[in-house]
Amino acid sequence: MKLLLGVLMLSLQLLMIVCARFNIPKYFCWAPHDQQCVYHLSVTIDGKPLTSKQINERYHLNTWRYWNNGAYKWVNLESRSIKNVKNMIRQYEATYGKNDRTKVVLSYRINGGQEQTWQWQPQQ
Amino acid sequence: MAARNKPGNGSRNNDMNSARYNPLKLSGTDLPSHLLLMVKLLTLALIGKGYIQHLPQPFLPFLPVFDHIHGVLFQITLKTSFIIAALLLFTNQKVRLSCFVLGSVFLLGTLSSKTYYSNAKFFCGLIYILTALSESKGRPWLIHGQLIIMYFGSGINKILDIDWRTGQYFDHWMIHVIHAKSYELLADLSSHEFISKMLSWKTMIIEIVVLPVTLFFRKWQAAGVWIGIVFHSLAFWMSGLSFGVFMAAALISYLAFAPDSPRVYVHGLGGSLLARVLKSILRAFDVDERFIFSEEKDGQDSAGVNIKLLSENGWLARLNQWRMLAIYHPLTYILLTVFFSITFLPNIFQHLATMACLILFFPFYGAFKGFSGKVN
Repeated sequence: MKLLLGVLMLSLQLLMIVCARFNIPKYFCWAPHDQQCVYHLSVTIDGKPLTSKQINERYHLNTWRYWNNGAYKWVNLESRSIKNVKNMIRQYEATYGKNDRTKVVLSYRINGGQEQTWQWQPQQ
Repeated sequence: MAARNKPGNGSRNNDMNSARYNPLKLSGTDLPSHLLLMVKLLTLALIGKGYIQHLPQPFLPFLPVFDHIHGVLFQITLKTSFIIAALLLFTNQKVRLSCFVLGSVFLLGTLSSKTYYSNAKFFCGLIYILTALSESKGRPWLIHGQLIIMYFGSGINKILDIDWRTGQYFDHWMIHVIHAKSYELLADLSSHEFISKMLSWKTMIIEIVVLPVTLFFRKWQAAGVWIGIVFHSLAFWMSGLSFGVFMAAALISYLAFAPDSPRVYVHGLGGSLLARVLKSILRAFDVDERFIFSEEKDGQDSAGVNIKLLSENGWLARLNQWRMLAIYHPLTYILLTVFFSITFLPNIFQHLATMACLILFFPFYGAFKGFSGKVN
């Protein structure tokens, strides 16, 4: 029984490694440092914008020191996949923040590449 | 201690009984001694890195059920469970159950919060649980399997990413996120494209092929462990990051490849003042009394590991015997864990610990044979 449980735990991880190939957030699949995504969030509630500090507190986000153009600046950084950030925002706004009428704009660069944008707003 | 080498002596038995609760004791429990050392060191590393303070309250959980649990109560339960289980583990009581509880603390913490999630915590949780589930006899292949899956999965995720294959990830990470001057110097000597591509492919090949294969086959495990040490050390030296508790945890988990407490005969330590001090230190940390010392230069070989400190085969052979002494003694692992995990120690201690690991576990010239389980 103990052995079976152990084998099941290892098998589940293998399954997650396979699942990570599809368009889902990268959790439990051993994807440390797969991407370095520098991102910026703009959040408005009822049309009123939140400050960076309020945004970080809302989603429990950390900042990281980032070297650019000869100087350091503090940025939000995701080191697994940007899908994880999108997934967290979606989950937050669909649960804790569902009554907030929030609009979220996420702009990000994956590994220093082209800037991309993703938006979230409640469905009417 | 005078009765140390006389089996069957009553006072020795009394000593052994009184040492039951000693955290340095590794034998006489439900777990093989090398696995017990592994989980105790892992717990020490987690405490040293401050992981108890950061156990989470549910927030954006993987399973919605955690949203219905009182946050503070949940956090207090996790912290209390960790403390009780760690105390039981350190005092050699209910060690399997303790491992199961410690693992559950990290896995439940992880499941309860996406912002708490990290590969290091997930890895620690799994190592505890798989130790609890491993068999008392034989090789702990569940833990071996865990390490192989972790490296393999990590490499597969990388190789399927175009930025890893072209080196773009590595170049951006090193320059902008880490701002590693050593990398910039190296890249300026040749080209960023070449260096970043080379380092990316080195990482992927080690993770997908070298480590899984060498850690799988018993005869190559000693080499695999050393390659793993080189791999983690290089990552640390280049980035300056130990990735939370991850580097310490990964290196500690290599103890799963060690043999289960062989008896070690040390010949020729001598009777000088220095030798006596060293002997008393080694004995103080050898609560299981696995080390038998004799002053004879060439004592007879006995079943177990025989270390001849005054070998006549040259200084390299003698140095190697000292290396073996360090490899088999638990004090070495305690010191390494302290150097790797106590956050207030300067970074230089982590550098020293990685260097020490590279020398101690160098797979050639004999010393590591015992570590891969081939003890006579």
